[in-house]
Amino acid sequence: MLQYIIKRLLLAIPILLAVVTLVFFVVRMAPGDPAQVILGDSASYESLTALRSELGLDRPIIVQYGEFLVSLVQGDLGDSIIRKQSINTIIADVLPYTVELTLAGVLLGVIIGLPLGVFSAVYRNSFWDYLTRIGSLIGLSFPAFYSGILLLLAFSVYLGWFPVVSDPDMGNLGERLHMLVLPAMNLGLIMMAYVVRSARSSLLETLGEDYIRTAKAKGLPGFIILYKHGLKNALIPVITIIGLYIGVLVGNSVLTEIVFNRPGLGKLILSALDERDYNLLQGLMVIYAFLIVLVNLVTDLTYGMVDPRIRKQ
Amino acid sequence: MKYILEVKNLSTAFKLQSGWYRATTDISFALRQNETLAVVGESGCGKSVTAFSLMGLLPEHGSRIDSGSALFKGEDLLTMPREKLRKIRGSAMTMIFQEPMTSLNPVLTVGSQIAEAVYYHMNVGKAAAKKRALELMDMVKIPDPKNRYNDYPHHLSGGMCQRIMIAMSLACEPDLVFADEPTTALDVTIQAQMIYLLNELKEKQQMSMVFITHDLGVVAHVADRVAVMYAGTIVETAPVADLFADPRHPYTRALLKSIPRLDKDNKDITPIQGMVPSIDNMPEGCRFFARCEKKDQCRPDEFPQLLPLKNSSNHQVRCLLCE
Amino acid sequence: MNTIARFKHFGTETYHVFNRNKTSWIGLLLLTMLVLLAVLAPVIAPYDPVEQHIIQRLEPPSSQFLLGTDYYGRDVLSRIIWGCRVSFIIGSVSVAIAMFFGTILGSMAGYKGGYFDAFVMGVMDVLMSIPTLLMGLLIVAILGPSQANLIIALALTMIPRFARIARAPTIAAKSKVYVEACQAMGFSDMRILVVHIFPNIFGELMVMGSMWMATAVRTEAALSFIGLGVNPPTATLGGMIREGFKDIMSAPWASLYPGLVILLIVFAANLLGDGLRDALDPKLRNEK
Repeated sequence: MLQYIIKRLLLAIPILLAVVTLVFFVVRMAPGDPAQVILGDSASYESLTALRSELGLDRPIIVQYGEFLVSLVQGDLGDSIIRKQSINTIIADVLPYTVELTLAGVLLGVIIGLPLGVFSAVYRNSFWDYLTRIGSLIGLSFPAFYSGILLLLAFSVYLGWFPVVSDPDMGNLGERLHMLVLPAMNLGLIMMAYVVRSARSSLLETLGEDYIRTAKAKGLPGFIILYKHGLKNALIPVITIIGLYIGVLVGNSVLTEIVFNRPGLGKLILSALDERDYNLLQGLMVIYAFLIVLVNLVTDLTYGMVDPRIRKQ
Repeated sequence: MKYILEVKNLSTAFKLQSGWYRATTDISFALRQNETLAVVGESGCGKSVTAFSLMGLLPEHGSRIDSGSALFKGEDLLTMPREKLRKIRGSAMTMIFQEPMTSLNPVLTVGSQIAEAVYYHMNVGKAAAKKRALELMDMVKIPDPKNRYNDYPHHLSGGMCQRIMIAMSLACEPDLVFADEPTTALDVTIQAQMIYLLNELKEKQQMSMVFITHDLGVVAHVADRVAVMYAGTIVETAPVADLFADPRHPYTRALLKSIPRLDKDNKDITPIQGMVPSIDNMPEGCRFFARCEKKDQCRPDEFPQLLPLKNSSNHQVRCLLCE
Repeated sequence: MNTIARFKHFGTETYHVFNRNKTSWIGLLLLTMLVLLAVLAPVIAPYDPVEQHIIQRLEPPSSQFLLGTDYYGRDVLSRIIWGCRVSFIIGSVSVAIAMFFGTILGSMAGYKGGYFDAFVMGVMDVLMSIPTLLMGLLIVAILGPSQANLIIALALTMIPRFARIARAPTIAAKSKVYVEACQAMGFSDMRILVVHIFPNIFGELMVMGSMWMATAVRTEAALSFIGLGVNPPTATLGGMIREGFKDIMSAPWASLYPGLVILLIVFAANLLGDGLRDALDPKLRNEK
């Protein structure tokens, strides 16, 4: 098992490095001169040159890349030239909100989606199965910003159950949770759609396996066959899919934060775009890449815990 | 109680795109205690379907039992409540499958998979079930059961997995075991070991066995009686010696002729001409008619019944020419 | 079987696949209707999508403006119809590009094997580890919001998915006797790939094609909503929601109807892909 963990960790590093490199060079492709952006069109040639050398922009790009990597390894994402603040601080301020939102979404999606998928597989081709399948297909067709708007209209504006603007800084833990409900539900519904579908198809496939027939031939009670023999095997691919779709969920959290006007990485991206703060944008992308690689790692490790065939290797 | 299992006129149908079709028709046989019946036939002839029908293991959707009865120790398996059948299944009546590697659950230890069969049928605690599982592993000659108990199926070879399957099927001292081609997926040397083991255990436990195979060579080693199946019907059944000595049905004869033998020069080995009729295109009359050597003397319009020979009531044949 | 006969065989095979699963017909029908709407936009749309009726701003749906007007007094229905056009162009072109390059890259990687394979699939893994929306966001933010850039961004995230589909069957087919026979006869690699490997992955390409088109349309709408879509005043569905969002209390029609249409397009494409997948899956086939 330890060997497996180390192997996974080693595999994650080149991917992370490649993504970070990609982000670095794409950001350098931006038209225009960052110094010009900061100082405005009326800036003099001297002040521009001075700022460029201060920012290190006058050095070869390879050197800049090297420095970027070195500071990255030390955990430093650099400074925002627009906000004149450390990017680490800017991100650290809002990261918890995005993490809490995404985790709540995943949790909600799995808790509701898994039993629903099992139900759908057990009663396959029944009316309720069709309803669940069509429902989940609609769920995963929803653009997150549109579902967010509809939730907001229904529960905040029409029913008045939740605040229209969520500001998690206000109030105590209860209020903070209260404000998390709708945004988390928005992400949770999307996650649920994916979980239902993968759980259903995976369980259906598992229930057709030879060892399920063996379990039946042994005369085991139906629920033991389903839970002990079916679900444990069926969960293995579902875990991968959950891990895979957390990536999708991270993208959707950006939209959710915008619609619900919630602080977080997504809102930060939006302001970085508005301010043309490419350093901040780069830092945010690095953080996202890091989060996704981390999620993949956790997924792989969970996978190894459930499947003895992988554990052995 | 004369017979442990008495099957009469069993017919099972499957649903295809264009409707329901019979996979087996009018299957009848009976089995005494400690007797082994070998069911022989080509793949797709309905051997496994017959066993699955009796075990209640047919797929829930797209299959049904059209007619028949199957008395197991006097009670009809086909009409009894599902819960009652479930309790018989795995204890008094068990099954060994063809593919030992895929028939074991990959994420559970092999020992626990045996213990499970004990636990859910014998009203004992987990510890007693484990103890019994270790006994069973020893009985099927798995070396060092204590260490193998916590192994997963992928740690074991095909032969070892099949021993686990056998141990599992014997867990509650069954009266009847269906062995569905238990040796087909194994190496030839392992096959012999497995047949020896099954025979030995059968004698020890005084149980009956339905041994499904397509290998006539195996039949001679294990069976007391033989039922030959063709295209969903039993065409001939007889004590094993009678069948080999005096096969009556043209299909049985053709089958015996098509096996190469070491003790003959094999010049008269002849393949059977033609193809098995497909499930959605069964002839009305005799299903072997189109391929039969003696069809010139016969007629295709009547479906023959499985009838005993005049001089030997133990030997039944489904052939218009033999009546 | 020659190449033409092969493709004819596909035609009938595809037809049978559709017939096996009714939901794929519904998806296809719905999608065709929406595509027709987009294609015939100049004919069908009652108004010019950028024409501003200044005195009739934020008008509710009426017989004059079937779905009402937006903040600038533009006809919502006409803008939706023209917006569909943008969605379909971006969605289908990006999927087509991704399918083309992905299939070639994947099958070449599988066919050549070795370092080439490892390198290509490594790059694919990296591309795949970035969520579609974030990749789109990064590229469009840097290169500027234009139809071409949106297409490039979306295609980049989808190429790996198609490469994966193409690679596995190529590796499987490579060792088959008939492919070795073709190599022995001196057929070009390209010909072998097209004639012997493409047919094997045709079905899955169709499934993934429609599923990823759904994702592409949704992502384009999301980027337009963020403000990174095709520049205004061009009508895009996501952009309409962005503009209508601030008036959602007083004029919900300006943002809710375009959203509904996005949902419809994405749902239809997903339904089609889902139905095709069920129909093509041999395990599910016998169950129905």
